[in-house]
Amino acid sequence: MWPFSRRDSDFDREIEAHIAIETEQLIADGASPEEARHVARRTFGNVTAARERFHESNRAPWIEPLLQDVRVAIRSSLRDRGVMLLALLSLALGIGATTAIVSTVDAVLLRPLPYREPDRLVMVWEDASFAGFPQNTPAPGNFIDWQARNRVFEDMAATMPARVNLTGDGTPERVLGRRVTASFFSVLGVQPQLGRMFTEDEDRQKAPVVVISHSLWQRRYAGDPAVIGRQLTMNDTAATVIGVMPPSFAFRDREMEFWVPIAFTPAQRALRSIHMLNVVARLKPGVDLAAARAEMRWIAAGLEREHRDNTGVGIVLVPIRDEVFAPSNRPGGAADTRQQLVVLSVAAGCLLLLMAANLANLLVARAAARRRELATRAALGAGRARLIAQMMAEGVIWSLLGGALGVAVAVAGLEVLDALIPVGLSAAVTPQLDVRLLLVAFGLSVATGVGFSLVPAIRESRVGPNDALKAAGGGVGGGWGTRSILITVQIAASIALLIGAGLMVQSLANMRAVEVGFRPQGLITASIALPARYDQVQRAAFYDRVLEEVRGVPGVVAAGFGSMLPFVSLGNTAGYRVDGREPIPGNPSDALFRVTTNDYLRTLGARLVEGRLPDERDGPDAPPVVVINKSFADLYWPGGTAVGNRIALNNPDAPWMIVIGVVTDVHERGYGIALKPGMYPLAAQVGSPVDNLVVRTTGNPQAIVPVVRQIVARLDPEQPVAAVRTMEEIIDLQVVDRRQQSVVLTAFAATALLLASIGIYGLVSFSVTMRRREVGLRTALGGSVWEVTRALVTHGLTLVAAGVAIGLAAALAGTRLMEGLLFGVQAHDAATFASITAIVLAVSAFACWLPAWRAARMEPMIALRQD
Amino acid sequence: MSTRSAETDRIALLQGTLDLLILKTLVFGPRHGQAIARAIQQQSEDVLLVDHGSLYPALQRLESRGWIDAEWGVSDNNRRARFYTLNRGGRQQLATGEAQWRRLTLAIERILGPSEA
Repeated sequence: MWPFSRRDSDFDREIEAHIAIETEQLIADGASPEEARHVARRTFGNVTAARERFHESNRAPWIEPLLQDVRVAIRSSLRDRGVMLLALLSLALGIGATTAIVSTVDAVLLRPLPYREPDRLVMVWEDASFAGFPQNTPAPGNFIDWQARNRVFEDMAATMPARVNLTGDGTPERVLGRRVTASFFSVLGVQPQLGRMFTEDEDRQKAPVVVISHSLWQRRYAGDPAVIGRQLTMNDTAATVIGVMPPSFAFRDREMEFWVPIAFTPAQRALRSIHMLNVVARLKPGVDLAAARAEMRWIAAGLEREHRDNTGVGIVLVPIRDEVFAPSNRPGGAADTRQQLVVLSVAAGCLLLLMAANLANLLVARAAARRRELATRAALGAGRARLIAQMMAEGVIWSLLGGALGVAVAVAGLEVLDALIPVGLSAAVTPQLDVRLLLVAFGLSVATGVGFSLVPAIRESRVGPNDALKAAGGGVGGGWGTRSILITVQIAASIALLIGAGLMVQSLANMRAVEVGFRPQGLITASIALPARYDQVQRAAFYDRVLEEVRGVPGVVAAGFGSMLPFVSLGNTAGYRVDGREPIPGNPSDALFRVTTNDYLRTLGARLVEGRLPDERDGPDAPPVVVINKSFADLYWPGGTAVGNRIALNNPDAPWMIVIGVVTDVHERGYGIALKPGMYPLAAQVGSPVDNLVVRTTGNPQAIVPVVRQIVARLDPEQPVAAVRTMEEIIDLQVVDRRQQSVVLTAFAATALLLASIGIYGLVSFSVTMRRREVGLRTALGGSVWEVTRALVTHGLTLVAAGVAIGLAAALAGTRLMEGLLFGVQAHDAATFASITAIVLAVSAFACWLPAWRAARMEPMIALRQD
Repeated sequence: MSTRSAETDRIALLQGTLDLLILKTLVFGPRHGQAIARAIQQQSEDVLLVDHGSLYPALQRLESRGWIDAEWGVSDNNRRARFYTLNRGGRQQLATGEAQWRRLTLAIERILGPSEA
């Protein structure tokens, strides 16, 4: 039974009491007080000895030896500083780099969804694959019918984006939000942090109420709780704030800052030809996705039969979690985030394994090196358990120390990566260190430290004292096989990672070099959306004035307005017909629709292949004209002239427009997305609003922004100028994911190579050191260091070669997994494979050669004396 | 008191034997360290003179093995002292130890033969 440890002071008191009582009894027996005390002490015996005995027996018997082992381990580590430094470096790199890298990505990929039971939520899309939109935003009419007819959902909600000018109480601001059905909040299962959500009645009656976001509340209303009940002016109409959502809430987009009732009109309820909603639904308890899909498909089939507009329109259900990973309506090519996550996890795992392998290698080597020391200790009487404990102490200490360093590296690494990664992604969320991963990495390092010092310790401690005392620094002995395997694995992993990174980087470069159909450099854009109180004439006048003044600003080459910028939307299309031509079978006669001012295409830098661009001739009273893109022209007039033909929108009273020019396709939809026919009618003639200003400047585009703001403010002080970005920034948003992947993967690969190099260096260096005496002897006898160490270096290089071979094989297999992420480069690109192999061979060869070189520089006498 | 010639008369006590003696002295009730030392001394008619201090490792051992319990209390003279009590485990140990001892001494005596008067 283990007693509670008594304190030394307690026992001191007991001794005191004992002596005092003895003294008293002696006095009672007749001795004088002094004598009594004297005798009592003598009778007790050696007080100090008693206290020491107590002290020692009281301590847990394992503490003393443990402390001793730690002291020994520290001393011996300091003696062989080099090895320890290598181990610590490996650990710090492994733990730190891995954690930092994964943390930066964590922030975006792994955020929990802020809804109740998010696994029961699905997004509902129309399947219009026949028109090239396999996940199309549903039309209101379909939504209403789906909601009414289904029995698999608790409820469904529809939303559409809304943009308003917020004026009246401060700087005019353009704010993004959503128009939502009242069921929106209940379907998602969220509550406002203040106030309430709006009701079905308020939705039906289009009540002027609004729920705002936490960010808007903080930014514009200083977090004042009295915001509830406050009147806002949105697009010149009043609205009352009835609720504020919590800071964590977002639906598909963190930029949405308000929610108002969608308030379908009776006309909208029957509308099936305009598709603009996002629909989300919550599965009933007990209903699984397959059942819901079956039911909804059946409903969609019914609607197809009932309505001509629904011909070919199916339905598709996507769990909301998959949507977070690959939002379907944003131009992003094939950047599937889930795939990214898998690649990332594999890379992180590889890196941790490399680190563990390095540590293991070094520990095994140490164990072999300490064989003599162990033998000596055994001869002096240490039991086997003590020997093993001593060996492990070192391993554990290295792991803990390395782990601590790793934390420091992780923190620093996070800063560095944050700086490298594009603004779009990191502005939304500041990466935090992923503590879980840190603990895992730390745990792995400690486990490796314990495991790989235990196993060799057990093996080495089996030595009889005689064995190891002879032949000092004998063969490299035990563990050679294990170490070789570990090195080979490290090299293989490095190659695989480096090739992966190389392919990613190339993809990125290729993407950015892709011809986009216009000149994005030097363009600045802004969103200047006029509110409803401007009628068509006033709008036209406003645009004209702005353009006139902007063109007068020094440095401005051209300016124009357009209804939608390139690289912003996958859709925004309109049906059309061509004069004198039948619709092409199998083709939906659906073209990208971009309304522009006369100078827009010129400002963009689009390239004319036929005819002319719009100019002053094409005013509001002139015959309606249109510019089309090459895809359109090739579809109907391949090789011939498109100019002079007439096209019109598919409405019965839409006027015919004459084609005056053809431009090479502007990649409106983004990188790597199939081109579609497109048309560019003029704002002056069609009359629709064109919100987006583009300005081409000779110098830095950002420089003219304040001037533009002033111009607009002078014309209308209440008009916000929003979303000011350069065209390059907009384009970059699409590659932001890939840029991050590239940075991340490159960081991984570089760390991997470093770790592998450390590993090889350690291995060869160690074996050279073990043969120090031999080396010294031979050089003293006149041989060259090379002859002696050649065998060792060759062995190292052999391992490298084996590792390279395995790594290349792994890369051949593995890059196939990446195919979806590559752009413009094959998964088995010979140039990449060859150059990476060359780099790894060069670095490894250097790591093999270096220890031999260092051995050569050592004086033979020193080598001989090392024992 | 005169210098003790106790040094020469002392009989080396085996560790286990001391434990036994301590347990025996506690049969009659709790005692503190000094009382135990005195009891052993007196009951053995001064043949066994133990350095009082060396009693304590034995007491600590007995306590950690769970054969005696210890508690601070007040002595006859109103002095605070640590009292040791024999518990049930200790009693069992005492019985076992006593039996072993008697067997041992019996065997030794048989070998040594009756003492010359």
